[in-house]
Amino acid sequence: MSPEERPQVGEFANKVRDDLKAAIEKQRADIEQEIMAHKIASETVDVTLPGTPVRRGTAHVIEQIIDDLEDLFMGMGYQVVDGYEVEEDKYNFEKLNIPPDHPARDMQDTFYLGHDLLMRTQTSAVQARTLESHDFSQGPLKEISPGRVYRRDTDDATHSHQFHQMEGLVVDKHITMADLKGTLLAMARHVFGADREIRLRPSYFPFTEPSVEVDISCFRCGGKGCAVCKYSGWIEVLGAGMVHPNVLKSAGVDSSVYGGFAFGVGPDRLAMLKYGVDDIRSFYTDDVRFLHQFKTEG
Amino acid sequence: MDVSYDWLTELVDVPVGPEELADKVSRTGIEVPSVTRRDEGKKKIVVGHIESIRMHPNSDHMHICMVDTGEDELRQIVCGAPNVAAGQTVIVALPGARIANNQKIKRGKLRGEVSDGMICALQEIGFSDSVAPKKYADGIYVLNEDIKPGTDAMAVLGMHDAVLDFDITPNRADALGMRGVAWEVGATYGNKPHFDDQPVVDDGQPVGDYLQVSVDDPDDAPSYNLRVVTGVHVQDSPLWLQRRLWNAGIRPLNNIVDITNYIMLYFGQPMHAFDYDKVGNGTVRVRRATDGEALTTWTGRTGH
Ligand SMILES: [Zn+2]
Repeated sequence: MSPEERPQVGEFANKVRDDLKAAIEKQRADIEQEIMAHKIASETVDVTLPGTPVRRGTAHVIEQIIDDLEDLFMGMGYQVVDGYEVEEDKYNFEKLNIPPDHPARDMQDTFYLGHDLLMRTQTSAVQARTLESHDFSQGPLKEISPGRVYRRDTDDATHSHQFHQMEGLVVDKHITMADLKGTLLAMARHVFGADREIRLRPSYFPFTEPSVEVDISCFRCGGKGCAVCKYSGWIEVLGAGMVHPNVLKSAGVDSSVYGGFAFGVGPDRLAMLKYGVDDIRSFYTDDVRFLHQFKTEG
Repeated sequence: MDVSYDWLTELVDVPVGPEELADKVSRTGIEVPSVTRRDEGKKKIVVGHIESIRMHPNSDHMHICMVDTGEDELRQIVCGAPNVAAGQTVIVALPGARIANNQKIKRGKLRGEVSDGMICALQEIGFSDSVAPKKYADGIYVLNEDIKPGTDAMAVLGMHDAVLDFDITPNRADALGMRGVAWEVGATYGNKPHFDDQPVVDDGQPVGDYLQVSVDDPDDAPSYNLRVVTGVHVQDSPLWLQRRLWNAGIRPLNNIVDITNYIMLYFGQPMHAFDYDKVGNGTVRVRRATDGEALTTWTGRTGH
């Protein structure tokens, strides 16, 4: 190419390039516009239609019972203490006045995880730990400890190898059985209605002396007798008693100065009674149709 | 612990009936969740005497029995039990009777022969397998006492007795015997128990003439006591004793085993009878098992 031709050819080439670029840009803009128009057409929102429902779960009925009890006892100045589901033998048994060969070990079939470890059989195991760590110069010990416990039971309508307990413990100077009875009466009335009465029957637990079984007057028939209370007018709901001096001693608490009461209540049993559930396994087999009957508001 | 109301009231005065007692004891000491009676829902069960017996013409195992049930005429009853025999005193469910599982007995024909009632095993009138004597497991129960035909069999067998289920917690081993239960009930009502303790009849010959005892570790057995009883005839226990045992949930076996169980129920102290002829060298040795040692019990079971 001659030097004279070069600027002319260059100018032409530039023009061709600019034309092509402009044409491509126009095509691109047209296409994008078309896409946008199509999109807008296809994504029209009809704000008058109902929205897609968002499925919400609900607190498990046992959780609801426990939450309710926690609220009640926190209102009476108790603290809520967590424990360990895998527990040492000494906290689950020995420090609760149940030495290795004690016949009371037969009362609870236990899952052992080796020699000294086990799945706790009772939330009372938390007692022994908090008794050891509590500083009584700072005031009385008032605690509840809800949680799961384990027994080597064959599951049936009234037994589950895993269920719930809520332990309650109060230790101070001058605690009497009247304090225990008043506390349990308050709980019974909170859960089962303001006109409930309670009665205490002698019983036995290794870590309390004396020990009692606690009955509430039947909430269904008011005490006249019906199928719920097996025609006795009373329903057994929990066990309790005055803390055994040996339990205090093994936690290093001076039993000549301090004393207290303890109780253990089963949220599963409360739920079964309150809602007329006749099979404890219903709580653990995750049937949403069953669980949704206990749906809470909001 | 199954507590017989009849037995209890022989040991202590009880001013109330079984149900009221159960409620009272539950409120004062030991939970009694239930009171049961074996005669519940049953009727028209009497004692019969088998006068004669012949083979059923149309059966290879059934018999036709002529049974005295205290009425003017003998009653013809067809019975298929292998142990039925003339001369036996047996349990008869009359037509109209109700026996176990609410079954009703009717007059009928069995393979063409009239059967006017039913001769019963204990299980058929409501006894569980766990208390019915094994000796009669495959047939009818035979009473070992001459009881007047027509007598209420449920009374004879202790079925009217109320049995209270004492739910004994580990702190109340004192109430694992009838004497302990009598003290508990007596204390509840302010009545002192009265035990009819029999004096020991002893011929004066020391036990040491028959047997020696050696205890390896006195911590394991601080006290080990033996007595020798001679002139023993092994046989069925008298009915009153069998009644006591099955109403306490224990199966009668023979007079020797039964008396040890009876003493256990009465005092709360387990005991055992040995056949003197089988105690090899005349020494009873009390020791712990060695590691892996096998043991064969008198029922023939071997365990480690
Ligand atoms: Zn009721």
